[in-house]
Amino acid sequence: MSLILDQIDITLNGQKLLDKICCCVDDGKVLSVLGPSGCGKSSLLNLICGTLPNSFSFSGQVILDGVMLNNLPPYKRQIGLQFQDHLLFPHMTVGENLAFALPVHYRKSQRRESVEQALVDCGMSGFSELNPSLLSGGQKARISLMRTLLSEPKALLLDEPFSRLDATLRSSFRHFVFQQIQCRRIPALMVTHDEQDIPDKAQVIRLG
Amino acid sequence: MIFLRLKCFCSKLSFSVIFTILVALFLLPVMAGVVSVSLSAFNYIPALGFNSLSLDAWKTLLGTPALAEMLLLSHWTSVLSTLLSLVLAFSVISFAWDTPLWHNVQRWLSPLMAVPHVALAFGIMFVLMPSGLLARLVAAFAGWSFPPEWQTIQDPYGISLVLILVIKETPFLIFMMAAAVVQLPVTETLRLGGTLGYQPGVIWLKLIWPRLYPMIRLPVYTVLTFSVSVVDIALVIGPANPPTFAVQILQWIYDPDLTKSLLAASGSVLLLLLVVSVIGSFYLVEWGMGRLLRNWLINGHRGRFSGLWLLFSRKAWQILLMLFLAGGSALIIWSFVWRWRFPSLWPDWSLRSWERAWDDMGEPMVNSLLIGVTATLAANIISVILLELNDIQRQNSESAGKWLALLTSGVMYIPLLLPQMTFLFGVQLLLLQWGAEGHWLTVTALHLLFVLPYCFLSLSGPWQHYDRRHSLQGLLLSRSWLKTFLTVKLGVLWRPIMASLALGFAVSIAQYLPTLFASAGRVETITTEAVSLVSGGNRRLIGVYGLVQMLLPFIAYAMAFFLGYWTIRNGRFARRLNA
Repeated sequence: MSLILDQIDITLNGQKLLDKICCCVDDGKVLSVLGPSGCGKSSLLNLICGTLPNSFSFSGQVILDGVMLNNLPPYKRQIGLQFQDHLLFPHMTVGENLAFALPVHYRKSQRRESVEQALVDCGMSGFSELNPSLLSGGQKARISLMRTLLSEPKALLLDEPFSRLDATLRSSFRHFVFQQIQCRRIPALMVTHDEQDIPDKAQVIRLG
Repeated sequence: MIFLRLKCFCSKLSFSVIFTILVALFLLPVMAGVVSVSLSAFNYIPALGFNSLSLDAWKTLLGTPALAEMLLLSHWTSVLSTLLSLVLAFSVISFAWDTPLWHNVQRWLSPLMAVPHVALAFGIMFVLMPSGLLARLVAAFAGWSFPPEWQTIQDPYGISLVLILVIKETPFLIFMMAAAVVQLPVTETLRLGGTLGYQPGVIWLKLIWPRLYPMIRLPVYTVLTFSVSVVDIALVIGPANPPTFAVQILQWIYDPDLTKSLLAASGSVLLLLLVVSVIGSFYLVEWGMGRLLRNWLINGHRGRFSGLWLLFSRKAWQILLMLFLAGGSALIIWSFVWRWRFPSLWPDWSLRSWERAWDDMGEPMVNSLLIGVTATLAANIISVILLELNDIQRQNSESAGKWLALLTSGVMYIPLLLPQMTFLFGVQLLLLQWGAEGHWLTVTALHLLFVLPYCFLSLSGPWQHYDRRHSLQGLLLSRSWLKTFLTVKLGVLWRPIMASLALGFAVSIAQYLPTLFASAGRVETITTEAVSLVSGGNRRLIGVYGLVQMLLPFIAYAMAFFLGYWTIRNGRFARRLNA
């Protein structure tokens, strides 16, 4: 599996934000996109998710697993997105937040097991019935990532995933994220402005 | 030290002033009305010469023929119309959000809400009735020569009443939802839900609705109360035999037989119980659904027919707008009609109805304007005073200020959550006892009970979002509290104030029961005159009065819009800078 960006241009009001971006991200690898704010990083993520506002125009192709995504609506693209704000749904418990992401074909008992397993994986077993507002920043980040992964995406986008965490949490969560990406064998694209976040110095695009 | 004491004193003063205003203006009359009507229900109306307590009225009430049918009718029309409006309003937000259509919807909201419901009911009646616009259009194609014998208005099941209520309440609910939904991270949620594989319609339903509904619960309950106790549109378009329960109570009140007043009083108390039970059952259903649907929320279904649903609701919204426009046009047409035989699409035009109505309309028009303008000005001044006092309180203590703000807006909902019929009838009995009825100021005071909450609630949002640093800067520069308030704060908040003035006027114009009860038939307004035309059935006059009633708030809105965007600078009209 791989995520391919082919000749991506993005323009806003006649001004070119991105110019001929080409790359290929393989399974378990993380491509980092660096650049100052306003350089078009978020627009690139929006383009890949299919949520680019109409005021932008673009050309080029987004290809995942050999399928061209350009004309698919966001919900059919099977691309997971991890925000810097973790956006846990406040009207659901931690466990319900996770179960919400599970695909529909899981039966009832399987759903419960998968949620429990996910909680164990991120070292938070026993948190299932808790209100998400009671979690710490680091715990929210982990649950949010597990939620994204439970939806079984074929690629993962990370939108400055570590910028809201303090220094100690940061390195451990970073380690956790990259480990998950490797063991699930999916391509990932990470947008950041911090050099320290980059896992693989060979896979970097610098914008701006 | 002195400064601190002064601050403490100010804070205490502001608290007690707010408290006094709330109690004197709201709780006292409303509670007095409820108490008075409750006493009357047990045979105690000194003003009418009933002095001994007894249960007779209740016995008569429970023996009233068709009582259960009337109660059921009120229950079913209110619940159904509220549910439909809620679904429609929510669908409109879901499909229009973040599209060019959203601006379109928002543009339509003010005019839709400004239309007095009686005028709207007249208009829709002219469209739907067996010889109405719709039937004429069909007749032109189907070759009918007589109106069909269907009961399309005043039908025994109250379906036409439900339709009017939906047209009237949907814009209000959209308005309240729009104010609430901006406090939620909608764009991010839609994006996140999409990346988890959910279709937009399902994201709205599963992720946004559960958080949005609690924010609009009180407005939904006011809609329920309104539709249980509404009298004027039920008279125009509701079922006649048996009518809804509130209409039956009104008929008892105006029965020449005075003992019927006792029956009306006990009926009013029963109506209050009905409202309590309707709201209670609504709440229970909400609670039950919340529990039952928890599994559905997380079962992973991502939606299949979301597109179809969105399309369907878009059509429903368009039909609603078309009915609204058709109703308005029907009023215009009928006010200029001389003769209009049934299958014909083109009437004989004449100005005669206007000529005939013009002379009689002078006094009701002056009364409407006088009462509307006075009530609106008073309501806005009181609202601003309350909000300012609240701000002072908040500056001293954030938590006490928040608590006070919550209390104030809660109290504001009381007149909207109690059935008008119940406490207004009680107030009327008190007015009768004191000999205070029949003066325009009395009418204005009763209007204030309904105008003030709407003005206050519409101003409290902008007041909360006002950046206090503007005033601080102004105070440092001008060193005058009053000057800062007038030139800086009111200047910044100019447009919300204009909008609130227009809203208050529209609310006042639409009031029927408060006018009827406080005026003792001596202060006639456009609205009371219009409703009294229903029994006569003169469509031309109804057209004229309906149109005038519709135009008055429109003019107010147009003026408010103009004043909100334009000002006079150097003797010329110029656009306001913060417009």
